[in-house]
Amino acid sequence: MVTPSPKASAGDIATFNVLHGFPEALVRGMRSSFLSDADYHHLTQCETLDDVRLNLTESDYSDALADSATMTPASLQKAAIEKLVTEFQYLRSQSVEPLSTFLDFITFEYMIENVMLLLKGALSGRDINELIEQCHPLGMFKESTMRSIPTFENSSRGYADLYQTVLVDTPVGPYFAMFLQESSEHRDGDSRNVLEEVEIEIIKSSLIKYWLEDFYQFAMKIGGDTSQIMGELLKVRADTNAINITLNSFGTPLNEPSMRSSDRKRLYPSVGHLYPAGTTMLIDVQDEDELGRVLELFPQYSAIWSIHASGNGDKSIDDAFYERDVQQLELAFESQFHYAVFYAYVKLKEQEIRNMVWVSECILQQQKDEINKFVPVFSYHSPWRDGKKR
Amino acid sequence: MEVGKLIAVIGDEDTVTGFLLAGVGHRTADGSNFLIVKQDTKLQQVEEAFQNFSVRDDVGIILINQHVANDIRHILKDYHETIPTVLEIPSKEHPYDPEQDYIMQRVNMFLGGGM
Amino acid sequence: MSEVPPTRMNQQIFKAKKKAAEGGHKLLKKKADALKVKFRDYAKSIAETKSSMATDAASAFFSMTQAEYAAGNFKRKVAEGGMTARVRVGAGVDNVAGVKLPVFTKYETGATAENQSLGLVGGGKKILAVREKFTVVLEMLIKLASLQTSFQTLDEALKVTNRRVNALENVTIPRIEGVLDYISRELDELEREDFTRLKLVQGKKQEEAKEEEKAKAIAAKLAAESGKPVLARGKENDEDITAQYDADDDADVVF
Repeated sequence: MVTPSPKASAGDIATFNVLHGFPEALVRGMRSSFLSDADYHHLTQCETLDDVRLNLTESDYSDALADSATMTPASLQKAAIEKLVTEFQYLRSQSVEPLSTFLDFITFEYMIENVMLLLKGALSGRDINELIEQCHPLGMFKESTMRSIPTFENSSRGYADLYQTVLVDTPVGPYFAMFLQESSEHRDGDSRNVLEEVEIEIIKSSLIKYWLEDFYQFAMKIGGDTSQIMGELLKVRADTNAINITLNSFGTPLNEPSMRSSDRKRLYPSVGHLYPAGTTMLIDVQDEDELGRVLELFPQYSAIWSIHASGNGDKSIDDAFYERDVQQLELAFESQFHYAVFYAYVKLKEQEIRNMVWVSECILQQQKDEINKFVPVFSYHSPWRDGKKR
Repeated sequence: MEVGKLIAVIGDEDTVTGFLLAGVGHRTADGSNFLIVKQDTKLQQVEEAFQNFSVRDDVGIILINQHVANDIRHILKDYHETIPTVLEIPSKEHPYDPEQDYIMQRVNMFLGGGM
Repeated sequence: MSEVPPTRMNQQIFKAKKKAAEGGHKLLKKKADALKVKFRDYAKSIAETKSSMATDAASAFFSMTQAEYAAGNFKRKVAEGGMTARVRVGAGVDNVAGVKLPVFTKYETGATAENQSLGLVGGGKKILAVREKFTVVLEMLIKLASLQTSFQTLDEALKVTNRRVNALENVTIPRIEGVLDYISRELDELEREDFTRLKLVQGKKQEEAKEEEKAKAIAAKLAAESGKPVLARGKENDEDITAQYDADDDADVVF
């Protein structure tokens, strides 16, 4: 695979703390920064966004929000993500190999998004400085790379240079190369053609797939509890992607018989519980009924599928996946001597940011009926924890 | 030129994104038929966009968020053409206020006045 | 007014003009009423559509929020890349009481949708819902655009028609009536003058006849007596004229 094997293992119960005790202690300390049930309760009672802001000054977000003049869901989101990035970068700066590479892997997902945004935007002649502003801060490249991107001109030539001299050298460049190579086997033409013809979301899904596979391999090589816990998280994530890709392809060109066996098939990750038996069956699935029949064979997904199939408007399949994710991530966070805790931290914080944005949007748009439809993190009222007070 | 006229949109990100998803977006080498107005978007840009859309003969309707329309009211006041038609629409953050809509003022005057 | 020569001919012309103006007034009034009815319809549907638009738009915006919750920040991707309009508006024309009203109709260009796979790895269905909701809002807005342009055009047409009705009612018709009045007054005057003149002439003729008779009688007398009474005649005549004129005039006024 792309990334070299880790030079050292994560260590076990006796040796983990020698190298990674400090970052782990840091991230455990951040456990208390999550919004509590009481915080959420107060937030959902707010009438205006200023109330939300006032309530958040009691929380860990007070500093992050202190500078913003006006409060909108977007500004809240931005401030919260920046806070997360600051914390993450602090963790990253305190870590040593192989944890530092592990943390880098977490950022690759966002880098992929950013590369796609930059390439596609540059292709349509957008101002590249504007594009950089829109990039996810967790997926920023090195300073030097970031600075060099705007120097390329908005022409096919400049664009080719951008790809060949800059993006190839970024950590996600190899995924890109793999995608282009795989695509050129199917169609003729250079990278520019592929980028113009293939939808951005499909390229992204391909890259995410390579990333998942790569990340999985890396976690396996680290061994110990990390490979076990992180492996499980990534497997489930891979399965979720496969199911979602199949479900969301219905009604799009991707579901056409010829595309199913070529393009859609290529998006299924080669890791996960569904792989290989499940994904092979998914290739031929052409509507929701067939998808349901495949998922019935996998107990862990049939429950989620039944939520979707029941057609109940209260809860979509996305909500069900989020709920399951949060449960798993919480478990991963609460155990010790492995790296998955860092991944769990980032993902749980993301969920929390999503929740805050959701609540503030509901307040802004006066949709009070919907306001509680989010998945709180470390909540006492979670279905898997109901009634048990710790 | 193609049959039919374009629908231009000037508004916040949610509004523009929504209508782009609905399929009104059109971008050529000359430019696009929409403008996303963000907090740091200068008034001048909005003015230019509106004036640009209003003289283009391939534009039939201009959709504009009411709160944006209020910012360029001084230009809208002097705009009297029937085509392109300017439609003021609500935005996510600013619920629609009929009081501020010129057409609604006229409608209410007519209905209320019982002419 | 004064430039119209008060002749029978002009009286006929202006009578015809008055008839035409009154006919036009009646027609325009009918048109204004028809427009007003339409106008009221449009005003009502605009008011209705605009208020329902507020609710529909709110639900469309909320679907966007739901999609963002499920699919992450997909909005920036939508505005990227080249795109071709799938929805355009065709401009047709509707006709109400002779007023041409522009009508927009939704027109699908058949271009393929961009970003069909948005939210492929999550939230795709929610984004689909956003598409649908905004399409509904868009259709409503296109309808509203037609209503609004029609409303404005009708508004303008109604103003013009009303102005014309008022002009006919308050300016043109009174002016024609004034001219007709003037003409008939002048004609009467002329008639009276003629009458007087005739009377005068008649009186004179009678006088002359009397005179002649007198003269004849005198001549006969003279012939008999051989005298010359010619000098006395002029004075007598003068007094007679005024007396006769006054009396005649009085009688004429009654007529």
